[in-house]
Amino acid sequence: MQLNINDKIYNIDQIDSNRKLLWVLRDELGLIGTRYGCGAGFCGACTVHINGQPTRSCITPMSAIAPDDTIRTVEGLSENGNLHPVQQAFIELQVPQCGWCMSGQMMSATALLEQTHNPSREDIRSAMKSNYCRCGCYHRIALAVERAAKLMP
Amino acid sequence: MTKTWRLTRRKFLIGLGTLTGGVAVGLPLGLPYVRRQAFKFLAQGGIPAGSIGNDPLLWFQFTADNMLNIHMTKVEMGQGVHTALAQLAAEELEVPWDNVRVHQAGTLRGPVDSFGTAASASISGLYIPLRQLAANYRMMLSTAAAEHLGTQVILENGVFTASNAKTITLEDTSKLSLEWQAPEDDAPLKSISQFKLIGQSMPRVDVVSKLTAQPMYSYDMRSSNSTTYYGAIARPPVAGAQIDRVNNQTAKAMSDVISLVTRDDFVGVVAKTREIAQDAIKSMDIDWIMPKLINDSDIDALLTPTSDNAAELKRVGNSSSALNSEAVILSEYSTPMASNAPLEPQSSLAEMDEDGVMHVRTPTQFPSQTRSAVANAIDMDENNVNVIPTHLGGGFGRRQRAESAVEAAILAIESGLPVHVGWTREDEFLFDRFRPPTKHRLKAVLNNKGQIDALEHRQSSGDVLFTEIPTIAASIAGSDFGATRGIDPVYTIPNLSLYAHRAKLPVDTSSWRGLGLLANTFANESFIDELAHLANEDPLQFRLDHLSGEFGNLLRAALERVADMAQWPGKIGNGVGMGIACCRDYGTVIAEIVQVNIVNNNILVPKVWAVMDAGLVINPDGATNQVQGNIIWGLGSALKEAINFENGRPSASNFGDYPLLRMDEAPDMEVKLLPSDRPPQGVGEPAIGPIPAALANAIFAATGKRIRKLPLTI
Repeated sequence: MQLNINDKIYNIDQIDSNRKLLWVLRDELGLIGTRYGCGAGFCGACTVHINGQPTRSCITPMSAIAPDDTIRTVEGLSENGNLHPVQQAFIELQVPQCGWCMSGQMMSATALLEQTHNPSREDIRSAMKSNYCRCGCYHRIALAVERAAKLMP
Repeated sequence: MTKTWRLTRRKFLIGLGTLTGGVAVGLPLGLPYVRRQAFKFLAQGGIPAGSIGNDPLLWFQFTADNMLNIHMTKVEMGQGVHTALAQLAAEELEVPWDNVRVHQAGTLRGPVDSFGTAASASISGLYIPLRQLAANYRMMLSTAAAEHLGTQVILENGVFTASNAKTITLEDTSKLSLEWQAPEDDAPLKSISQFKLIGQSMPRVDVVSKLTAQPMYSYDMRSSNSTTYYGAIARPPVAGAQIDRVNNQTAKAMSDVISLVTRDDFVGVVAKTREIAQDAIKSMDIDWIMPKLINDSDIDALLTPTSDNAAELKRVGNSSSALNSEAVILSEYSTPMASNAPLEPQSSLAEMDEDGVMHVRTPTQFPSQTRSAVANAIDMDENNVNVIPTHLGGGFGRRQRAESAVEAAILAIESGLPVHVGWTREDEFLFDRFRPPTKHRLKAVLNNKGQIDALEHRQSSGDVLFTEIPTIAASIAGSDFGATRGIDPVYTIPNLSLYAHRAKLPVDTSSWRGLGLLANTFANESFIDELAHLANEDPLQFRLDHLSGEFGNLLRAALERVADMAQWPGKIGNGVGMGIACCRDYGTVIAEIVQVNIVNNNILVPKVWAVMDAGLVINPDGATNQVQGNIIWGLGSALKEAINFENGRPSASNFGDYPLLRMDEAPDMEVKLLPSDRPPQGVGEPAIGPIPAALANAIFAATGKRIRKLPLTI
């Protein structure tokens, strides 16, 4: 099958249709930026965009992906070597500790900011509430999303 | 697996022998005395921070374009230790910050740390030794540069300049053909006023990598020069079950299964994909010999303190006669088991190279011990095992052991292939090493001025560090110094007794963030609040009235500052209130205030204030991030986290049964670090301590209800 990931076409042979997108990204395509946290859709570490919608890749079987779907992973956030405003803001605010949840956090934040240009703190807390951060960086994540909103073109 | 923790064992035995002095010659001072001295040493002196060796070339390596590679022994699990240690080294080496690169040292090459990364002890322990090593190396380089250029030199921005204007870089100097000798006397260290990097909020050295999807965690590791294969292990239905009989005929016939490995009590599969390996395991028919299946009631019975297993930790005055009064105040508190649940499940990549060296990339906080465990499991010499810690997707104490390192190594050596073994979230919960449950019985008597005349704290806990040391050391120490962390109240009390009861639970309990600090501080600081109210005194003023001495004065400053920031006591009533609590953790003191808002019996926390004095802080923004994270950990424990046992299984198999605190439940927070010239103290854990008590105290202020059990429910 063909996958359109980060505006690049990947050809994959003989994929078990029950296999989850997360492990195809990580183990087959080497796109390890999408992280595994729970495998059950609870923690949000595996969040990618499918057609712009934040989606849990750990519970998305390959059979659920249509040929014309566009997939975006954290590797597709920066363009031509320029960091995405969300990445810039997360660096500016020195958000991460262990960092394992950060790809998912940034993918959820990007989806929010592409739909809501000037989110309130409540908008942010609501959109990001299903992304766990075990290190407890929520305060900085919220501040960084507010900052990213200002940096977005 | 008997060799697994040999280094730890030896270290703790030596430590105890040194501090007691009398152990080897028949305990002339008596066991209770020895135990109290051991408690005092470990409570105040701290835990060994690990050795760094005396060879600067193991740590520091200059590369082309005059960059400095620093090879770190300490493991980066999010606490920012690589950044802060690099600041210490670059400061004394006079290397510009932009020229610093940080690498994790594997155990085969580079410096080896005899301890590990734990106990918030990396910075406090290496503050002098690492700077000294760097300063001595700078002295060696300066001497070499001066000889080379034939005159005195000045080092600036990584370049030596001679009085005749000739220059040589640090890199070129480090490569001069000389007979290098360490200085006979240590080079002078910079004074605080000379610091350029220490005390500055330098950006984390790992921040860009972590935000640009770099392969840096164990789950990201793949063989660099060969196909990576995936392993799965047959895991028992409950911890402690043993394999009786295996039928793996179906798995043998599966395509893409490369290798089946069966050893005593170990069944594993190597396959082309992770999913096929797991399917092959699932296809096996395995009979298990089951252990006794534990329930909460078994644990509860063992946890109830009885007088025959108590170790006396501390005795001031005579609390037993003072407490023999009708006016005695008694309260009991309890905390449940909890899971570490680092967000990255553990995994390891094991790969043998052409020279017969087994390389294991693994998330371990204790690389030396993991090396021993791997070497023992695959019957190889430790010098042929290279344990390379990756960045950890959270550690918190759980990564004291790295079971997947052993599993991957066994599968790699049996199959002859590079093998990655990744645990599932369900594995993480079922085979977690839990925070032990605790019970606390506190008694006190107030004098006629409303001050504390006598206090007794009897604590009962499952093991924390006793799971890692031999029985003999445990019986000498008497109490588990991990479990008792934070039990000594910060207040001046004329009659004080502390007792610890060891509950030997049939559940694997171990290190959890802050060890006993959270449980003991919850009990102590809730009880102090109860006493304040019984004395009709403001809880802040009551605390201030009981503080004296060096640490009392540090706490006074922290309490007064946090009260000022929060405008204590704030609005009270109608479900709104503030609670205050504080603690000392080794050399760090912290005071915290929690604002609570009770809405329809839901406990909401809109804001938390924290003031910490951790001595000189190497990286204030990094330390602030640690305090902020600990506030979330403290609230998660106060409001949500609990593990129960039924039929031998923990109550959680995934986050659906064990929800963590979410962003929409996280408070706004203000954190202040007090300036200090004291040497650096720990920052990775202390702020977790006071949070549950501060919240319980806030709930009391708001509602008049005293909740003495975690998690707090109304």
